[in-house]
Amino acid sequence: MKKLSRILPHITIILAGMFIIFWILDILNPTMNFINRRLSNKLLLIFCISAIITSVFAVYYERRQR
Amino acid sequence: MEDASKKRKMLPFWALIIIDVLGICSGMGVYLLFDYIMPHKLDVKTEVVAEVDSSRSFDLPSDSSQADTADSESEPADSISDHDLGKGKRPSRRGDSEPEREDGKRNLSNQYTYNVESDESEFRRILDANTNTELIGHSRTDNADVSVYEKSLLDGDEKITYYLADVYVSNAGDILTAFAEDTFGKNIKDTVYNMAEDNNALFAVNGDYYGNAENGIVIRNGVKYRDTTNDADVLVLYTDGVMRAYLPEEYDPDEVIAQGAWQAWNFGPSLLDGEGGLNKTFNTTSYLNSKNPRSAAGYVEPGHYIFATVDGRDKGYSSGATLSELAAIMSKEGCVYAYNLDGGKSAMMYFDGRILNRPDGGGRDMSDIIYVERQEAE
Repeated sequence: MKKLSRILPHITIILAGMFIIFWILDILNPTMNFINRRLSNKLLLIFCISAIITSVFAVYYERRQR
Repeated sequence: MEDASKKRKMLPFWALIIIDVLGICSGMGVYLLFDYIMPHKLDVKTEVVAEVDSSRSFDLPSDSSQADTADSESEPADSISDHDLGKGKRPSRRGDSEPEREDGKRNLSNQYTYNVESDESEFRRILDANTNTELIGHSRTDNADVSVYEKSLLDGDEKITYYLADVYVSNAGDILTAFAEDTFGKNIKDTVYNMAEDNNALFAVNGDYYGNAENGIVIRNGVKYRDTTNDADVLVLYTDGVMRAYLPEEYDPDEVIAQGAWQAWNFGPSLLDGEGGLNKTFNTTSYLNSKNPRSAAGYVEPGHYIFATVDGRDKGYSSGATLSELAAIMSKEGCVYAYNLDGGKSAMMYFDGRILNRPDGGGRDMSDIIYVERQEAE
């Protein structure tokens, strides 16, 4: 559990960084359509799950500290 | 004591940032490797949607017009006017009634708001510029008459050099397309030269690089491979020889197929308004509107098509063209519709066993070509 809570924020940061790059590339060249690709959709799902779990951990630890 | 050793084990914050940035780079690398480099054959349900309409044939230009008989005979610049080349001497079929579409959908451009405004001054500047023209090849078969020219406009750093193919075919079915490795798929690529040679092409130009996208209309040689639209304009060549450009909102797959779509490309944008005038706006981004090497397909009348490849990114030889400049080049050649194909390093034109232009960086492999087959005249 501890390992997961250490790794997940980094997975979230990496996926967030990738989607920012996709977004910029799509603005420059929409025909590339990075964000709507099948693989991107799967990554988006992983990103969402990872963000939710990371946030749950963050809320949990924050409440425990109080 | 225990706390101190734990603290020592923790990486500094800046190291974590570097690790995360490296993680983003690695993630992008793996993503691009899977999605843009590894070839995937796509098992799609294809459907034959059109067959060659052999009842409809167009006259090729009279052979006398080929006093400029090819075999790479070059003529001095300025010695031939644009009017002499391909237009004045050749019988015009523009008046002979292009078949009307039942729904009257003809000049549909400019009905919607596009993203980037075209530049009328650039368009005019190219229209008014003197063109240096050199015939570099001509070939005539029973089914096609193809003349290719090297042309240049403007001077100094602004100079634009382009290659133009004036293509007459006796039937729309003579405008053919081919996939790399003869396979429909994602990231299946080959050079324009190899694809042209593999298909016994006399003339070829790069297509829309359909294999780079997961969506977009793909109808090739009367076979429908994909019918999902994306945000780009669609160009359709019908079996009756008519070519039309559609905005994505206008494109109705059932209707287009019912009318006999022989080829459909999905890249764009559409450049001309159906009467040879500049589209007020282009369905693209300002980033893609900058000066670049480009390829374009143009429609003059049924059976008469113009293909152009503009070289670029090489100041002094050719700076490339913006979309408005490309529109002007196509309008100048008598096109009523013109459509931007894939450009940049993809922009390549092949004729009679060689690549004519100087592709940026030597060109790149891509997924499809438009071509006219080499057939010996009887």
